[in-house]
Amino acid sequence: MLTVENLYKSFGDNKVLDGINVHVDKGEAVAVIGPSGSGKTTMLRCISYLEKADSGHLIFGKGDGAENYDLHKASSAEVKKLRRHMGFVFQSFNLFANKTALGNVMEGLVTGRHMNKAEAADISQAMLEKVGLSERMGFYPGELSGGQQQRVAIARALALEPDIMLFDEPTSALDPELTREVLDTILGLAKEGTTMLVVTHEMSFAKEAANRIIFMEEGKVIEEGLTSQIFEDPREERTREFLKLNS
Amino acid sequence: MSERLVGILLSSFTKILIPGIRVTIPLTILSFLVSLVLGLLLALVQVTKIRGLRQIAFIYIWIFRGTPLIVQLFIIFFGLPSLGIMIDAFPAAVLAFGLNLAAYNAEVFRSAIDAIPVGQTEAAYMVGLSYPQALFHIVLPQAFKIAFPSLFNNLISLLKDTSLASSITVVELFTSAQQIAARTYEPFALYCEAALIYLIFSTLLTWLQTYLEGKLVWKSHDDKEINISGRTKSMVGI
Repeated sequence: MLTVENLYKSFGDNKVLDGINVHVDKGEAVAVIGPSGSGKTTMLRCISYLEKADSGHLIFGKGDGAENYDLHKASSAEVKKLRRHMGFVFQSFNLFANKTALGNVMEGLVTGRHMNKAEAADISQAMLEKVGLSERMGFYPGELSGGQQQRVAIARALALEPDIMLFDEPTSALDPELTREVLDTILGLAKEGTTMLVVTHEMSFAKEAANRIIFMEEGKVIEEGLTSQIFEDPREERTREFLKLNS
Repeated sequence: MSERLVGILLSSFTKILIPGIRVTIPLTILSFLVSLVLGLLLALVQVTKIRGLRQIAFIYIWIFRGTPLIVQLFIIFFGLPSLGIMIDAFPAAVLAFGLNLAAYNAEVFRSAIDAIPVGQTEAAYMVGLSYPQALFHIVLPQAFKIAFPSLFNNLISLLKDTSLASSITVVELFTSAQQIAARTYEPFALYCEAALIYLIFSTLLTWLQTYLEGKLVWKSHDDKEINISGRTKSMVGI
Protein backbone atom coordinates (compact mmCIF):
# COMPACT_ATOMS: atom_id res chain seq x y z
CA MET A 1 0.00 0.00 0.00
CA LEU A 2 2.78 2.42 0.89
CA THR A 3 6.21 2.22 -0.69
CA VAL A 4 9.10 4.56 -0.02
CA GLU A 5 11.91 4.51 -2.52
CA ASN A 6 15.45 5.83 -2.27
CA LEU A 7 14.89 8.32 0.50
CA TYR A 8 17.86 10.59 1.18
CA LYS A 9 18.11 13.39 3.69
CA SER A 10 21.04 15.33 5.14
CA PHE A 11 21.19 18.07 7.71
CA GLY A 12 24.30 19.93 6.65
CA ASP A 13 27.10 17.37 6.44
CA ASN A 14 25.17 14.89 8.51
CA LYS A 15 23.63 12.17 6.35
CA VAL A 16 20.53 11.23 8.28
CA LEU A 17 18.83 9.06 5.69
CA ASP A 18 21.05 7.24 3.25
CA GLY A 19 18.86 5.56 0.67
CA ILE A 20 15.90 4.17 2.56
CA ASN A 21 13.43 1.75 0.97
CA VAL A 22 10.41 0.78 2.98
CA HIS A 23 7.21 -0.99 2.13
CA VAL A 24 4.06 -1.44 4.17
CA ASP A 25 1.15 -3.61 3.06
CA LYS A 26 -2.46 -3.01 3.89
CA GLY A 27 -3.38 -4.39 7.29
CA GLU A 28 0.23 -4.75 8.31
CA ALA A 29 1.84 -3.39 11.46
CA VAL A 30 5.48 -2.59 10.85
CA ALA A 31 7.79 -1.53 13.67
CA VAL A 32 10.94 0.48 13.00
CA ILE A 33 13.64 -0.07 15.59
CA GLY A 34 17.21 1.07 15.92
CA PRO A 35 19.55 3.17 18.05
CA SER A 36 18.98 6.87 18.70
CA GLY A 37 20.07 9.02 15.80
CA SER A 38 19.57 6.25 13.26
CA GLY A 39 17.10 8.41 11.31
CA LYS A 40 13.85 6.68 12.27
CA THR A 41 12.00 9.85 13.19
CA THR A 42 13.38 11.77 10.21
CA MET A 43 12.13 9.00 7.95
CA LEU A 44 8.58 9.37 9.27
CA ARG A 45 8.81 13.14 8.98
CA CYS A 46 9.97 12.90 5.38
CA ILE A 47 7.23 10.42 4.51
CA SER A 48 4.63 12.87 5.80
CA TYR A 49 6.42 15.84 4.21
CA LEU A 50 6.91 17.57 7.56
CA GLU A 51 10.53 17.50 6.49
CA LYS A 52 11.53 17.95 2.88
CA ALA A 53 13.71 15.06 1.70
CA ASP A 54 16.79 15.68 -0.44
CA SER A 55 15.37 13.07 -2.80
CA GLY A 56 13.00 10.16 -2.67
CA HIS A 57 9.61 8.95 -3.79
CA LEU A 58 6.54 7.70 -2.09
CA ILE A 59 4.09 5.49 -3.93
CA PHE A 60 0.65 5.08 -2.50
CA GLY A 61 -1.57 2.25 -3.68
CA LYS A 62 -0.90 -0.26 -6.41
CA GLY A 63 -1.19 -0.63 -10.14
CA ASP A 64 -2.96 1.95 -12.28
CA GLY A 65 -4.46 3.87 -9.39
CA ALA A 66 -1.13 4.31 -7.62
CA GLU A 67 -0.20 7.83 -6.58
CA ASN A 68 3.42 8.81 -6.92
CA TYR A 69 4.80 11.62 -4.79
CA ASP A 70 8.17 13.29 -5.06
CA LEU A 71 9.26 13.76 -1.45
CA HIS A 72 11.62 16.53 -2.47
CA LYS A 73 9.26 18.75 -4.38
CA ALA A 74 5.58 18.09 -3.95
CA SER A 75 3.09 20.89 -4.58
CA SER A 76 0.98 21.99 -1.63
CA ALA A 77 -2.03 20.27 -3.21
CA GLU A 78 -0.05 17.05 -3.47
CA VAL A 79 1.14 17.36 0.11
CA LYS A 80 -2.43 17.81 1.27
CA LYS A 81 -3.52 14.75 -0.72
CA LEU A 82 -0.59 12.71 0.61
CA ARG A 83 -1.33 13.62 4.21
CA ARG A 84 -4.97 12.72 3.77
CA HIS A 85 -3.88 9.09 3.66
CA MET A 86 -1.98 9.39 6.93
CA GLY A 87 -2.60 9.75 10.61
CA PHE A 88 0.42 10.97 12.53
CA VAL A 89 1.01 10.48 16.24
CA PHE A 90 3.86 12.58 17.60
CA GLN A 91 6.30 11.78 20.36
CA SER A 92 5.31 14.97 22.18
CA PHE A 93 1.55 14.57 21.52
CA ASN A 94 1.22 18.08 20.06
CA LEU A 95 -2.38 18.46 21.12
CA PHE A 96 -3.95 21.84 20.40
CA ALA A 97 -3.70 23.53 23.79
CA ASN A 98 -6.66 25.80 23.07
CA LYS A 99 -9.06 22.93 22.39
CA THR A 100 -10.61 20.35 24.66
CA ALA A 101 -10.02 16.66 24.02
CA LEU A 102 -13.18 16.60 21.95
CA GLY A 103 -12.24 19.84 20.20
CA ASN A 104 -8.86 18.36 19.30
CA VAL A 105 -10.46 15.38 17.63
CA MET A 106 -13.11 17.49 15.90
CA GLU A 107 -10.70 20.07 14.50
CA GLY A 108 -9.58 18.09 11.47
CA LEU A 109 -13.13 17.06 10.62
CA VAL A 110 -14.69 20.49 11.04
CA THR A 111 -11.95 22.84 9.83
CA GLY A 112 -10.01 20.53 7.54
CA ARG A 113 -12.88 18.59 6.00
CA HIS A 114 -15.77 21.00 6.51
CA MET A 115 -17.97 18.42 8.17
CA ASN A 116 -20.90 19.79 10.16
CA LYS A 117 -20.26 20.01 13.87
CA ALA A 118 -22.89 17.56 15.06
CA GLU A 119 -21.67 14.80 12.79
CA ALA A 120 -18.04 15.56 13.64
CA ALA A 121 -18.88 15.47 17.35
CA ASP A 122 -20.51 12.03 16.98
CA ILE A 123 -17.47 10.62 15.22
CA SER A 124 -15.10 12.26 17.68
CA GLN A 125 -16.98 11.00 20.71
CA ALA A 126 -16.89 7.49 19.29
CA MET A 127 -13.12 7.79 18.73
CA LEU A 128 -12.51 9.04 22.26
CA GLU A 129 -14.59 6.17 23.59
CA LYS A 130 -12.49 3.79 21.55
CA VAL A 131 -9.32 5.01 23.26
CA GLY A 132 -11.04 4.88 26.64
CA LEU A 133 -11.47 8.60 27.24
CA SER A 134 -15.21 9.18 27.17
CA GLU A 135 -14.93 10.64 30.67
CA ARG A 136 -12.39 13.25 29.64
CA MET A 137 -13.90 14.76 26.50
CA GLY A 138 -14.38 18.21 27.97
CA PHE A 139 -10.89 18.51 29.42
CA TYR A 140 -8.12 20.65 28.00
CA PRO A 141 -4.74 19.04 27.26
CA GLY A 142 -3.21 20.75 30.28
CA GLU A 143 -5.74 18.96 32.47
CA LEU A 144 -4.87 15.50 31.14
CA SER A 145 -2.04 13.13 31.98
CA GLY A 146 0.59 12.40 29.35
CA GLY A 147 -0.91 9.01 28.60
CA GLN A 148 -4.36 10.51 28.20
CA GLN A 149 -3.00 13.24 25.94
CA GLN A 150 -1.36 10.68 23.71
CA ARG A 151 -4.57 8.69 23.52
CA VAL A 152 -6.43 11.85 22.50
CA ALA A 153 -3.77 12.34 19.82
CA ILE A 154 -4.42 8.80 18.58
CA ALA A 155 -8.17 9.45 18.49
CA ARG A 156 -7.54 12.71 16.64
CA ALA A 157 -5.63 10.85 13.93
CA LEU A 158 -8.10 7.95 13.73
CA ALA A 159 -11.12 10.23 13.35
CA LEU A 160 -9.98 11.13 9.85
CA GLU A 161 -9.95 7.46 8.84
CA PRO A 162 -6.40 7.41 7.50
CA ASP A 163 -5.19 4.53 5.37
CA ILE A 164 -2.06 4.28 7.46
CA MET A 165 -1.14 5.40 10.96
CA LEU A 166 2.38 6.70 11.56
CA PHE A 167 3.58 6.58 15.16
CA ASP A 168 6.72 8.48 16.07
CA GLU A 169 8.00 7.01 19.35
CA PRO A 170 4.56 7.40 20.88
CA THR A 171 5.65 6.54 24.42
CA SER A 172 9.12 8.10 24.64
CA ALA A 173 7.85 11.23 26.36
CA LEU A 174 5.81 9.30 28.92
CA ASP A 175 6.51 8.15 32.44
CA PRO A 176 7.00 4.36 32.54
CA GLU A 177 3.71 3.80 34.37
CA LEU A 178 1.81 5.66 31.64
CA THR A 179 3.33 3.91 28.64
CA ARG A 180 1.21 0.79 29.09
CA GLU A 181 -2.13 2.48 28.46
CA VAL A 182 -0.84 3.99 25.22
CA LEU A 183 0.82 0.77 24.05
CA ASP A 184 -2.35 -1.17 24.79
CA THR A 185 -4.33 1.29 22.70
CA ILE A 186 -1.94 0.89 19.75
CA LEU A 187 -1.84 -2.87 20.23
CA GLY A 188 -5.64 -2.91 20.05
CA LEU A 189 -5.49 -1.07 16.73
CA ALA A 190 -2.89 -3.49 15.39
CA LYS A 191 -5.09 -6.44 16.34
CA GLU A 192 -7.99 -4.85 14.45
CA GLY A 193 -5.82 -4.78 11.35
CA THR A 194 -5.04 -1.08 11.26
CA THR A 195 -2.17 -0.46 8.87
CA MET A 196 0.63 1.16 10.80
CA LEU A 197 4.27 2.12 10.78
CA VAL A 198 5.55 2.49 14.32
CA VAL A 199 8.91 3.94 15.32
CA THR A 200 9.53 2.60 18.79
CA HIS A 201 12.07 1.91 21.51
CA GLU A 202 9.78 -0.58 23.24
CA MET A 203 11.09 -3.95 22.11
CA SER A 204 8.50 -6.02 23.92
CA PHE A 205 5.80 -3.91 22.32
CA ALA A 206 7.33 -4.29 18.86
CA LYS A 207 7.46 -8.02 19.41
CA GLU A 208 3.83 -8.14 20.45
CA ALA A 209 2.27 -5.71 18.01
CA ALA A 210 4.26 -5.88 14.79
CA ASN A 211 4.02 -8.31 11.91
CA ARG A 212 7.27 -7.09 10.52
CA ILE A 213 10.34 -5.33 11.91
CA ILE A 214 12.68 -2.91 10.20
CA PHE A 215 16.04 -2.37 11.88
CA MET A 216 17.73 0.93 11.02
CA GLU A 217 21.17 2.23 11.81
CA GLU A 218 23.04 5.29 10.55
CA GLY A 219 20.38 6.17 8.05
CA LYS A 220 20.19 2.76 6.44
CA VAL A 221 17.86 -0.19 6.69
CA ILE A 222 20.20 -2.88 8.01
CA GLU A 223 17.71 -5.69 8.17
CA GLU A 224 14.04 -6.33 7.84
CA GLY A 225 11.94 -9.37 8.32
CA LEU A 226 9.08 -11.04 10.11
CA THR A 227 8.95 -10.22 13.79
CA SER A 228 9.73 -13.76 14.88
CA GLN A 229 12.71 -14.01 12.54
CA ILE A 230 14.23 -10.70 13.66
CA PHE A 231 13.88 -11.44 17.34
CA GLU A 232 14.77 -15.11 17.26
CA ASP A 233 17.21 -15.35 14.42
CA PRO A 234 18.59 -12.02 13.21
CA ARG A 235 20.83 -12.40 10.18
CA GLU A 236 22.92 -9.28 10.74
CA GLU A 237 25.48 -8.97 13.49
CA ARG A 238 24.47 -5.37 14.20
CA THR A 239 20.86 -6.32 14.67
CA ARG A 240 21.91 -9.02 17.08
CA GLU A 241 24.03 -6.58 19.10
CA PHE A 242 21.28 -4.00 19.21
CA LEU A 243 18.72 -6.53 20.39
CA LYS A 244 21.08 -7.84 23.03
CA LEU A 245 21.56 -4.33 24.40
CA ASN A 246 17.88 -3.48 24.29
CA SER A 247 16.05 -6.45 25.65
CA MET B 1 -4.92 74.51 52.43
CA SER B 2 -6.61 77.79 51.68
CA GLU B 3 -10.28 77.95 50.89
CA ARG B 4 -9.43 79.46 47.53
CA LEU B 5 -7.30 76.49 46.57
CA VAL B 6 -9.95 74.01 47.62
CA GLY B 7 -12.45 75.94 45.55
CA ILE B 8 -10.17 75.89 42.50
CA LEU B 9 -9.50 72.16 42.86
CA LEU B 10 -13.17 71.33 43.20
CA SER B 11 -14.33 73.46 40.31
CA SER B 12 -11.50 72.35 38.06
CA PHE B 13 -11.96 68.64 38.74
CA THR B 14 -14.82 68.24 36.29
CA LYS B 15 -13.20 70.68 33.88
CA ILE B 16 -10.25 68.30 33.65
CA LEU B 17 -12.22 65.09 33.96
CA ILE B 18 -14.65 65.87 31.13
CA PRO B 19 -11.97 66.41 28.44
CA GLY B 20 -10.38 63.31 29.89
CA ILE B 21 -13.51 61.30 29.19
CA ARG B 22 -14.37 63.02 25.92
CA VAL B 23 -10.90 63.23 24.40
CA THR B 24 -8.22 61.27 26.25
CA ILE B 25 -10.21 58.03 26.38
CA PRO B 26 -11.41 58.03 22.74
CA LEU B 27 -7.88 59.01 21.68
CA THR B 28 -6.49 56.08 23.66
CA ILE B 29 -9.03 53.58 22.34
CA LEU B 30 -8.77 54.61 18.70
CA SER B 31 -4.97 54.72 18.75
CA PHE B 32 -4.89 51.33 20.43
CA LEU B 33 -7.17 49.80 17.80
CA VAL B 34 -4.89 51.13 15.05
CA SER B 35 -1.87 49.71 16.86
CA LEU B 36 -3.50 46.30 17.35
CA VAL B 37 -4.51 45.83 13.72
CA LEU B 38 -1.26 47.16 12.31
CA GLY B 39 0.83 45.40 14.96
CA LEU B 40 -0.78 42.05 14.17
CA LEU B 41 -0.20 42.55 10.45
CA LEU B 42 3.44 43.45 11.06
CA ALA B 43 3.88 40.36 13.23
CA LEU B 44 2.19 38.10 10.68
CA VAL B 45 4.33 39.20 7.74
CA GLN B 46 7.34 38.46 9.90
CA VAL B 47 6.33 34.99 11.06
CA THR B 48 4.97 33.93 7.68
CA LYS B 49 8.29 34.98 6.19
CA ILE B 50 6.83 36.80 3.21
CA ARG B 51 9.93 38.14 1.50
CA GLY B 52 9.98 41.87 0.88
CA LEU B 53 7.11 42.55 3.27
CA ARG B 54 9.21 41.12 6.03
CA GLN B 55 11.97 43.64 5.39
CA ILE B 56 9.43 46.45 5.32
CA ALA B 57 8.09 45.33 8.72
CA PHE B 58 11.60 45.21 10.09
CA ILE B 59 12.39 48.73 8.89
CA TYR B 60 9.06 50.02 10.15
CA ILE B 61 9.69 48.67 13.65
CA TRP B 62 13.26 49.91 13.59
CA ILE B 63 12.19 53.46 12.80
CA PHE B 64 9.12 53.73 15.02
CA ARG B 65 10.78 52.18 18.05
CA GLY B 66 14.00 54.07 17.51
CA THR B 67 12.66 57.62 17.38
CA PRO B 68 10.83 59.62 20.06
CA LEU B 69 7.06 59.60 20.03
CA ILE B 70 6.83 63.38 20.30
CA VAL B 71 9.06 63.77 17.24
CA GLN B 72 6.78 61.43 15.29
CA LEU B 73 3.80 63.43 16.50
CA PHE B 74 5.40 66.70 15.34
CA ILE B 75 6.36 65.24 11.96
CA ILE B 76 2.78 64.15 11.33
CA PHE B 77 1.07 67.31 12.58
CA PHE B 78 3.56 70.10 11.81
CA GLY B 79 5.74 68.44 9.18
CA LEU B 80 3.29 66.83 6.76
CA PRO B 81 1.44 70.09 5.92
CA SER B 82 4.61 71.31 4.22
CA LEU B 83 4.22 68.33 1.90
CA GLY B 84 0.62 69.34 1.32
CA ILE B 85 -0.86 66.77 3.69
CA MET B 86 -3.05 68.49 6.26
CA ILE B 87 -4.35 66.39 9.14
CA ASP B 88 -6.46 67.76 12.00
CA ALA B 89 -4.94 67.57 15.45
CA PHE B 90 -7.05 64.71 16.79
CA PRO B 91 -6.66 62.33 13.82
CA ALA B 92 -2.98 63.27 13.65
CA ALA B 93 -2.61 62.21 17.28
CA VAL B 94 -4.50 58.93 16.65
CA LEU B 95 -2.23 58.25 13.71
CA ALA B 96 0.99 59.03 15.55
CA PHE B 97 0.11 57.05 18.67
CA GLY B 98 -1.30 54.17 16.61
CA LEU B 99 1.67 53.93 14.28
CA ASN B 100 4.12 54.18 17.16
CA LEU B 101 2.49 51.59 19.38
CA ALA B 102 2.01 49.24 16.41
CA ALA B 103 5.79 48.75 16.37
CA TYR B 104 5.73 47.67 20.01
CA ASN B 105 2.61 45.52 19.67
CA ALA B 106 4.11 43.84 16.61
CA GLU B 107 6.95 42.59 18.79
CA VAL B 108 4.51 41.45 21.46
CA PHE B 109 2.48 39.49 18.91
CA ARG B 110 5.56 38.08 17.21
CA SER B 111 7.10 36.77 20.41
CA ALA B 112 3.74 35.33 21.50
CA ILE B 113 3.35 33.53 18.17
CA ASP B 114 6.92 32.23 18.46
CA ALA B 115 6.07 30.87 21.90
CA ILE B 116 3.51 28.40 20.50
CA PRO B 117 5.23 25.04 19.94
CA VAL B 118 5.70 24.40 16.24
CA GLY B 119 4.53 20.82 16.84
CA GLN B 120 0.96 22.05 17.13
CA THR B 121 1.18 23.55 13.66
CA GLU B 122 2.60 20.27 12.35
CA ALA B 123 -0.23 18.38 14.03
CA ALA B 124 -2.67 20.79 12.39
CA TYR B 125 -1.16 20.04 8.98
CA MET B 126 -1.46 16.32 9.64
CA VAL B 127 -5.19 16.63 10.33
CA GLY B 128 -5.64 18.46 7.05
CA LEU B 129 -5.46 22.12 8.02
CA SER B 130 -3.83 24.66 5.73
CA TYR B 131 -1.31 27.17 7.04
CA PRO B 132 -3.86 29.99 7.43
CA GLN B 133 -6.28 27.59 9.15
CA ALA B 134 -3.57 26.44 11.55
CA LEU B 135 -2.73 30.07 12.21
CA PHE B 136 -6.26 31.26 12.90
CA HIS B 137 -7.63 28.18 14.66
CA ILE B 138 -4.64 27.02 16.67
CA VAL B 139 -1.75 29.47 16.87
CA LEU B 140 -3.33 32.92 17.12
CA PRO B 141 -5.91 32.12 19.83
CA GLN B 142 -3.08 30.84 22.02
CA ALA B 143 -0.73 33.66 21.08
CA PHE B 144 -3.39 36.22 21.88
CA LYS B 145 -3.76 34.83 25.37
CA ILE B 146 0.00 35.03 25.92
CA ALA B 147 0.16 38.53 24.43
CA PHE B 148 -2.78 39.86 26.41
CA PRO B 149 -0.97 41.10 29.56
CA SER B 150 1.75 42.82 27.50
CA LEU B 151 -0.80 44.38 25.19
CA PHE B 152 -2.69 45.71 28.17
CA ASN B 153 0.53 47.05 29.60
CA ASN B 154 1.05 48.96 26.37
CA LEU B 155 -2.52 50.23 26.56
CA ILE B 156 -1.88 51.71 30.00
CA SER B 157 1.33 53.33 28.73
CA LEU B 158 -0.58 54.74 25.81
CA LEU B 159 -3.22 56.26 28.08
CA LYS B 160 -0.52 58.31 29.76
CA ASP B 161 1.36 59.08 26.55
CA THR B 162 -1.74 60.69 25.06
CA SER B 163 -0.89 63.70 27.24
CA LEU B 164 1.71 64.49 24.56
CA ALA B 165 -1.19 65.39 22.28
CA SER B 166 -1.43 68.62 24.28
CA SER B 167 1.64 69.75 22.38
CA ILE B 168 -0.20 69.62 19.05
CA THR B 169 -3.26 71.58 20.25
CA VAL B 170 -5.52 68.64 21.11
CA VAL B 171 -7.57 69.78 24.07
CA GLU B 172 -7.39 66.68 26.22
CA LEU B 173 -7.02 66.04 29.93
CA PHE B 174 -3.56 67.51 30.36
CA THR B 175 -4.19 70.53 28.09
CA SER B 176 -7.20 71.41 30.27
CA ALA B 177 -5.07 71.20 33.39
CA GLN B 178 -2.42 73.40 31.78
CA GLN B 179 -4.98 76.03 30.83
CA ILE B 180 -6.47 76.19 34.34
CA ALA B 181 -3.00 76.23 35.91
CA ALA B 182 -2.03 79.20 33.75
CA ARG B 183 -5.19 81.06 34.69
CA THR B 184 -5.07 80.39 38.44
CA TYR B 185 -1.30 80.33 39.04
CA GLU B 186 -1.65 77.05 40.94
CA PRO B 187 0.46 74.68 38.84
CA PHE B 188 1.35 72.33 41.66
CA ALA B 189 -2.23 71.66 42.68
CA LEU B 190 -3.59 71.48 39.15
CA TYR B 191 -0.93 69.13 37.80
CA CYS B 192 -1.36 66.90 40.85
CA GLU B 193 -5.06 66.87 40.12
CA ALA B 194 -4.37 65.89 36.51
CA ALA B 195 -2.07 63.15 37.77
CA LEU B 196 -4.82 61.91 40.07
CA ILE B 197 -7.29 61.66 37.19
CA TYR B 198 -4.77 59.73 35.07
CA LEU B 199 -4.23 57.47 38.05
CA ILE B 200 -7.97 56.84 38.33
CA PHE B 201 -8.17 55.95 34.62
CA SER B 202 -5.18 53.63 34.73
CA THR B 203 -6.45 51.96 37.91
CA LEU B 204 -9.74 51.25 36.17
CA LEU B 205 -7.81 49.77 33.26
CA THR B 206 -5.80 47.58 35.62
CA TRP B 207 -9.03 46.27 37.13
CA LEU B 208 -10.39 45.65 33.66
CA GLN B 209 -7.24 43.70 32.81
CA THR B 210 -7.58 41.47 35.87
CA TYR B 211 -11.24 40.86 35.08
CA LEU B 212 -10.60 40.05 31.42
CA GLU B 213 -7.67 37.76 32.15
CA GLY B 214 -9.97 35.73 34.35
CA LYS B 215 -12.45 35.48 31.49
CA LEU B 216 -9.87 34.59 28.92
CA VAL B 217 -10.57 30.95 28.22
CA TRP B 218 -10.30 29.31 24.86
CA LYS B 219 -13.35 28.45 22.89
CA SER B 220 -13.38 24.95 21.60
CA HIS B 221 -15.65 23.45 19.00
CA ASP B 222 -17.68 21.78 21.67
CA ASP B 223 -18.50 24.56 24.13
CA LYS B 224 -22.03 25.48 23.41
CA GLU B 225 -23.80 23.11 21.13
CA ILE B 226 -22.69 19.79 22.38
CA ASN B 227 -23.34 18.22 25.71
CA ILE B 228 -20.09 17.06 27.14
CA SER B 229 -19.28 15.01 30.14
CA GLY B 230 -16.45 15.58 32.50
CA ARG B 231 -16.35 19.35 32.70
CA THR B 232 -18.56 21.44 34.92
CA LYS B 233 -16.77 24.78 34.68
CA SER B 234 -18.54 27.15 32.34
CA MET B 235 -16.42 28.41 29.52
CA VAL B 236 -16.30 31.89 28.11
CA GLY B 237 -14.66 32.02 24.73
CA ILE B 238 -12.48 34.43 22.92
